[in-house]
Amino acid sequence: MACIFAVVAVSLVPGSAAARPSGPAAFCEAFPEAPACEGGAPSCDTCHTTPPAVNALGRQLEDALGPERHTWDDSTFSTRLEEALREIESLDADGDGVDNGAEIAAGTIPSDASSHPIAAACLDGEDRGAWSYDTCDYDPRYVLRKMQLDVCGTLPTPLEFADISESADPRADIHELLDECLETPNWRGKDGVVWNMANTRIRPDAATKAGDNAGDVPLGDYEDDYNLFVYTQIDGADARDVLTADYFVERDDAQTTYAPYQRTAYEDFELRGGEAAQFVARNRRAGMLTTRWFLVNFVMFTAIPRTAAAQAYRSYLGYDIAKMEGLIEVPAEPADYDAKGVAEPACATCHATLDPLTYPFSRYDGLGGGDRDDADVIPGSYNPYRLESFVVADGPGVLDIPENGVLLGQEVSDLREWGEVAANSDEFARSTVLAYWQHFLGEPPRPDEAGEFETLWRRFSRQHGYSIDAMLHDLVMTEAYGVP
Amino acid sequence: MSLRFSSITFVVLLVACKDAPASPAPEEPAASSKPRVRAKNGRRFAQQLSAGLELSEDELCSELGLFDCVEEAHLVVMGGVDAAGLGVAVPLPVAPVTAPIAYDRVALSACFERVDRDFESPGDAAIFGALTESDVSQEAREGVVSELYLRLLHREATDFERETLCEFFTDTIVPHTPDSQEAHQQWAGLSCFAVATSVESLFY
Amino acid sequence: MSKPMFKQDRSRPRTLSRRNMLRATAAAAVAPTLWLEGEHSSHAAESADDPRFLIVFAADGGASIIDSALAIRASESANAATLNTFEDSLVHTVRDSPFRAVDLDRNDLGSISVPVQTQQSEFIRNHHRDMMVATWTRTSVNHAIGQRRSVTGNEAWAGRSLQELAALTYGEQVPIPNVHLGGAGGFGARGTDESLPSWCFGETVSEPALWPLSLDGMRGLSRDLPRDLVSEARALRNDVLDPSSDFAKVFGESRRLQHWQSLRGEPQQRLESSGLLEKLLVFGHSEDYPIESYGLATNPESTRLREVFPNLDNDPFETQAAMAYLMLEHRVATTVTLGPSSDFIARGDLDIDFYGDSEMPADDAAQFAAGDIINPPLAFDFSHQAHRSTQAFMWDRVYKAADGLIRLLKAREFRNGESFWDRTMIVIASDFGRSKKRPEGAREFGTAHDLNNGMVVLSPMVAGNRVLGGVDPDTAMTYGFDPLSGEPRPGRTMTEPEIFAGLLQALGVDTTEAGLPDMPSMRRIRA
Repeated sequence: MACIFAVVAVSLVPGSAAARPSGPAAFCEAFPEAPACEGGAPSCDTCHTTPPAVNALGRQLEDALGPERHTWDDSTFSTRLEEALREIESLDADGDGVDNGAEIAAGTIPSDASSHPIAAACLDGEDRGAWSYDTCDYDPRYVLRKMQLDVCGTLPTPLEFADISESADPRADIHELLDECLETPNWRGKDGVVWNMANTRIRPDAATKAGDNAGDVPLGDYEDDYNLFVYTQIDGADARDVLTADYFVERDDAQTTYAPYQRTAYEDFELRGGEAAQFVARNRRAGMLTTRWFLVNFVMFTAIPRTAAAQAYRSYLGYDIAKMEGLIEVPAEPADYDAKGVAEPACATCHATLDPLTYPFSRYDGLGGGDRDDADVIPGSYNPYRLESFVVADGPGVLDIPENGVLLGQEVSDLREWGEVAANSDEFARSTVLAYWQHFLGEPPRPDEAGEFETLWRRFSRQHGYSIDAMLHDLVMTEAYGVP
Repeated sequence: MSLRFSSITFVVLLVACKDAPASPAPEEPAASSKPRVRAKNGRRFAQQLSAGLELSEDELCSELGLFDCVEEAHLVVMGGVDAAGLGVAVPLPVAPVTAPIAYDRVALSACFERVDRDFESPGDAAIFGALTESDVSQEAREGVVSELYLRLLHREATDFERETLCEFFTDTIVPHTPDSQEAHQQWAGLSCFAVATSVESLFY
Repeated sequence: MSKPMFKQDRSRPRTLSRRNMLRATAAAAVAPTLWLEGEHSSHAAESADDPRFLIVFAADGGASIIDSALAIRASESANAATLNTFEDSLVHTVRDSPFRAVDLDRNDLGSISVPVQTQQSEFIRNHHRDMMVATWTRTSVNHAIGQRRSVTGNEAWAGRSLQELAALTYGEQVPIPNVHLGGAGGFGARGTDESLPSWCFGETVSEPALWPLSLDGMRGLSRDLPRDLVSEARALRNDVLDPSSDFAKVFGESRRLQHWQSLRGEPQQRLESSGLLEKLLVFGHSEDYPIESYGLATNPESTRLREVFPNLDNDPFETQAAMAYLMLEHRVATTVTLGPSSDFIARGDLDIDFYGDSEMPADDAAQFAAGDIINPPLAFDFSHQAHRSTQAFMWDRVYKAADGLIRLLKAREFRNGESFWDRTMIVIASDFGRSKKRPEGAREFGTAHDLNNGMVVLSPMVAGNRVLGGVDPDTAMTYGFDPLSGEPRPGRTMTEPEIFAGLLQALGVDTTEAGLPDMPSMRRIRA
């Protein structure tokens, strides 16, 4: 999915050097009617496994393009790619008996033999009431089963199945049940569905946990992060708070409720001790980006914490720079302030985006680093002077590291603004909804679902005020979810 | 709601159907044009077994009597996560080769636990009480099959399923196990196991 | 032994065969080949009878070569005080070998006030003939990316990993060719070439002590069940009940169901009929592990394993190493990945003063014994906090595990007088190196990630007793070598694809189709 973002990024960056890649746009030039183009552009996995590695369709394209392709500029490549795509229409990349062109037009996956158009005996005027699964239309019984399992964690009883079959308004019943299920511990509780969606964002480690059930080397309490994350995803909350919140959240397991609170660093230290306290002042907080756990684990001992920025970019905007996603070059970057050699051509490909993305993180301490005694460092705190201690290790250039950076082609003055820009981006909306789509459907949107997916995330941001609950009410009504 | 297939799919549809006379839909549903299922992870499976077999989750299965099968011994294999402890942040994307065996172990353990309890205390039997009688009828066995499907899959068993599992008793269990009570215990546990580990039970 | 056991890492699936049991009644208008297997070349079939074994050590966090085999003595360097060089007395050169060894005794492991005693030299003495060091320059200082690139050569061969290629070449005949025993992280990341047969991808074993119980559906349960009846019940389920259900008729062509049904066929039968459960039990019967009470016999090798790995009960890495040996010995796997985790592991209930002073007074050192720390937090990456002691400790740890495996494999005949070791390669893979500088004269200091490094490889199949490349003592930077002759080339560095190619070629994997460079200097020339 991520390449869609890159294509969008092109249009957001006036006058910039080429954002990459150009493949998705060329695909839609060649096949403008393809369902995969309804959402704007097809995903990278149309031709790739992990870019730049290619799948079966991509290999056929490479053969059609020939070895000279490495010498072409982007414009030539795009043109030749269009031609090559048309050339391979009559081939069958995955050997499933359906040619590439037919699969692309049908919205199935030409590089996956298990994905191909299947005949469906759906004709108008049939009475399909006896079918246990109505594979031709939205099936409330099917949705009831899946949704109750996905959200409540339970299987509907035979009576509940019967009720919905006989209901005058089964969709209303589904909406009502969804509201009930969104209140369950299975959905919102500790170690519940929403909680576990935060695992890859937070990357907890029991060995270094502080607070309850502390590990051997307590560095921070990641339950603060989980509580904040879940709070922003339930009860109609504005999910953008995940990157903009200036508060923390407490959890009551008995009621499965979450409540925000404000404490100064000193108050938190007095209450919870030095191992768990949150030390970033309120006016420097940016949701999950400035929790103690995040800073300790991803900034650690580094002047320019590129890992932190990359983790945030990947977790909340869906761009994995290591897979060459979301690359938006910034002029005169990378400046290589810390003399790591990132301006070398092979490195600059990614670091021209990554480094300016990272600068706003550079004023936050993780565990320490530089020539300071780590015991003198306040872990996970805002410290505008921290770079002075990195001169010996990383050179005097670190003193020139700006606090402002560039995110999605836009200047941001500090990390708070980074969070604001990120949270209000299309990428955030898309990435947030994608996570739920993958939970409910078990996989990313298929090519023929691209249009429905786009509608879903646009409504999430433009009509639902970034409410996950409201978005889920849309999701369970989609064809993708509701037609067996 | 529009019918969910593209124009190309329509062409791929047996074109002859366009010319065929309209007819009632067959009783069996058509195959999905975009077959997509999700697996029930170990925890969900355990909840389902627990509710259906009226056992608490910690009574279902433990390895070596010490390690809960679902939450400990086979957690990751059965699709569970333990981000902070084991470092497994997301469920396995594809079932590992030992996954079916792990689910089988849990189901065998749980089903036969239920069988043991029902046969030990027929008066308090939850599912298999009718099999504890000295003379068990075919109807009683059919009733047990129906009960298993209702409890584990939340639907009525079809005639075919009832017949098939009853034939399993007469054609397979009885020749192997002459003693009637023991035969019924084996049949009860294995029928429960077969239903509990069906794809319909493990996926959705 | 407490429960549950140990922290492992992501798993990967595998199928042996395709078995389409769930055909939709409204059949597709085309004939799907729903679960493609990769083509099995005759080369692969032949190779399966003449296997090589690959063990990948996931040296998590940055194992620095200049803290081990290429250590620099202070007297050799013009910048000794500000570079990561050692007092001369700490660096040993093993006779008849080009390798260095750092034997370090400290009163602390960084800010952890526990003494450590480490000795690399014994390992070098015992194994230098089968040891090769190859220098290289990495391309990422991100842990996950660096780890992944250490086994994929930075996607040099369509994103395939060393382990997947070893499995592809040698693993066709074994039940689970590619196993990840945890601590694998990016080292065990699934490759991106989905055209490979699914059985090439890694299978995770997250709890080695209990995982063998998932190799058989009935053994070890609290009740005896007649195996033939259970088989009949399975057949009834798979062949009659499932296909007849509406659910299967509607969704039968889904990839997940197809995969599940294939696992229930030949793979399951092979696992259960091989009697692998007891062969892979690392621990013997005990109160904490009462296997004999459940009809399972203690593995006769468990005594020997405990002799070689005396910390088996407390150290997950040793448990993994023992399991790795069993898996290779019993031809369960062709390649195994294992490694020390990032967990902090200590023996017993110790009051560890993590936030204490970095240097303990000598008289306080007596309260803890050497060996009380089994694994520092973050493994090699604890070098951020305490480079010198962390590197010494972790290299010693890795060498000890390798030593145990080598001894076991050497003692086990493969055939015709050839041992398993003769056919095995141990790759000590790591994310990246560590920075080279230190505050002037500091005996302990923190380091960052660094691209410049080298790799240790152990095998009778590699250019043994040889350093390929070298290190500049005035900069502490490694430099490369001529791929053909192996002669040092101070003007160049080696790339990830080059080292990746050399390892594969030494392992006997045919890299022709991949267009990888030929690296004959890395493989041993056999007479």
